[in-house]
Amino acid sequence: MKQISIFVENKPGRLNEVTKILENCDINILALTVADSNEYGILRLLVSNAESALDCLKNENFSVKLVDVIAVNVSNIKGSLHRILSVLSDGGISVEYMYGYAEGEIAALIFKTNDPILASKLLEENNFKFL
Amino acid sequence: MIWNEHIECMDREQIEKLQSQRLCEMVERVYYNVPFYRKKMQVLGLEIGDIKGIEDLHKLPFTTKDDLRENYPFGMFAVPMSQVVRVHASSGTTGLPTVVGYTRNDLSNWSEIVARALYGAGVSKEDRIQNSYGYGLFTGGLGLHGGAEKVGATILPLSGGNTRKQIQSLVDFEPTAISCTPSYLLYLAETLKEEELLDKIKLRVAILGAEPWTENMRKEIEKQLNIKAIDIYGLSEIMGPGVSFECINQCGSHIAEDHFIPEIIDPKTLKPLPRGSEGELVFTTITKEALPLFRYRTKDLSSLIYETCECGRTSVRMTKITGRTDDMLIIRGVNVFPSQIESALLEIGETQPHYMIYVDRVNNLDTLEVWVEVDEKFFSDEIKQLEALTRKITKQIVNIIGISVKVKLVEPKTILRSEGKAKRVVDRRHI
Ligand SMILES: [Zn+2]
Repeated sequence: MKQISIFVENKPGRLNEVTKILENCDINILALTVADSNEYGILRLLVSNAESALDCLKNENFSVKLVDVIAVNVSNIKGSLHRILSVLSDGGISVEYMYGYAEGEIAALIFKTNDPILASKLLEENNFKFL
Repeated sequence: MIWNEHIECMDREQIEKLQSQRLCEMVERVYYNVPFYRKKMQVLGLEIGDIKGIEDLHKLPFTTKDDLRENYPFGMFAVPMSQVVRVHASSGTTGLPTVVGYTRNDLSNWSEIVARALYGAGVSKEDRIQNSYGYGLFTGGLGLHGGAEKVGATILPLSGGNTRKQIQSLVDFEPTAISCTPSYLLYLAETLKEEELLDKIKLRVAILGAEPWTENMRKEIEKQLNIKAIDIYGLSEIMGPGVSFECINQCGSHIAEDHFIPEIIDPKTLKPLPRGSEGELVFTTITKEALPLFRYRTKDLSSLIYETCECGRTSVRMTKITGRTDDMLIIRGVNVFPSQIESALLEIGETQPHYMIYVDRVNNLDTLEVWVEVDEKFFSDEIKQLEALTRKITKQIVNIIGISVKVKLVEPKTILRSEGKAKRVVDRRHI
């Protein structure tokens, strides 16, 4: 699935700006993570409509791009993450970054890998469900 | 295409003879009509007869922008105001503007040299030219206008600013040529790209000047718009645009030597440098009637090429301005020109030339910071790649200027764009 990545400077109000733009465009945020350095960060979002989020943010002069990620549904129990990572590493896939969220019994994990096609195939073969 | 083959392809001996003759006439005219220069000559013990030709040029006093300011507004004019048919002025960043005047002959010579420039760029009566230099006291607009009229091109006198109208004219009136500052053309190109109008325009050539620009900036413009970007050089004190121009070979700007004698001097010792050396460009105007100037110091850094150009013109060529003696930043004792940083950025190939230089002094140590906009072309979704990019830019700049620099990536369109001369440096040191 498509994740949207946004370059943001570390200054007050920038995240706010992004969420405001998305709200104005009627876009719902499903999952979010921020990777940051001293001066800037990369905001990574799963949203209800990635294409239109891309357009909205581009119009506001943000540097944005769509990135292929894999979002997997797992049960919120011990060992779930480990099982997925084992499948991927056994298949020779390296994970560039990952993040996740859990709500009640359901958890979702989002991965960026070096080979999204192969990774999806492996996970599918092992009966994982995608978001 | 050569507008005035007789002059532009004259052999060296003949052109120097013409220059010598015009210089002697000028010295006499100036001595009797400009008290400022008469006094200077008297102080130097220089008489009219001491100047017998261009070999004596170095004996004459220099002129600076400050001299013009001290004689503000019309104190250095060599003719009565009744003969001055137009005045232009350049806004100074500090203090008074510099005021220049033109007689009817001056204007006619000016149109002549701009006509040469337009022909040099391949622009003729078959062309439609959008003139996006400001019309007004600034010499750019009316200067280009006069030359374009002379060659018979169809002029679209847009003047500067109002990007909406500029874009509309480019699309609806389909000009084949445009004249403006290079940074403004890049701005227009960006807008055209955003609005997906690049394939709706018919431009094939741009005549660009009024600010220093680099070869890399030229490549960027030519690539984005698929046109030829031609340099035109000039300064109001000497005449305005057209003092020199590039031909389509883009290998140095041909100087109108029948009107201006160029020299290259060492900006510190003020001694003329041997042919081919880089130094400060100096001009003596030998035909100007309203405001003749001896050895005007342009503060532009360049060098002169005397070989005949591939285009057939024999006129001396000046190399692209590499910097300004007064833009020069001295950081920790090292001379740094903003243009060096620009070329470092463009060599990375991934960044657009939008940047700002901040110089500061922290604990008595000069610091240099370069802010670069993160363009979509190289925005990566991973921190480690952005950090690698920062390191690459830093290394490139250090290689060129030789002192350490901090590079900061900033969001797109956060660095101020200007429609006139681009501001590239903020010097926060109070020294
Ligand atoms: Zn040439």
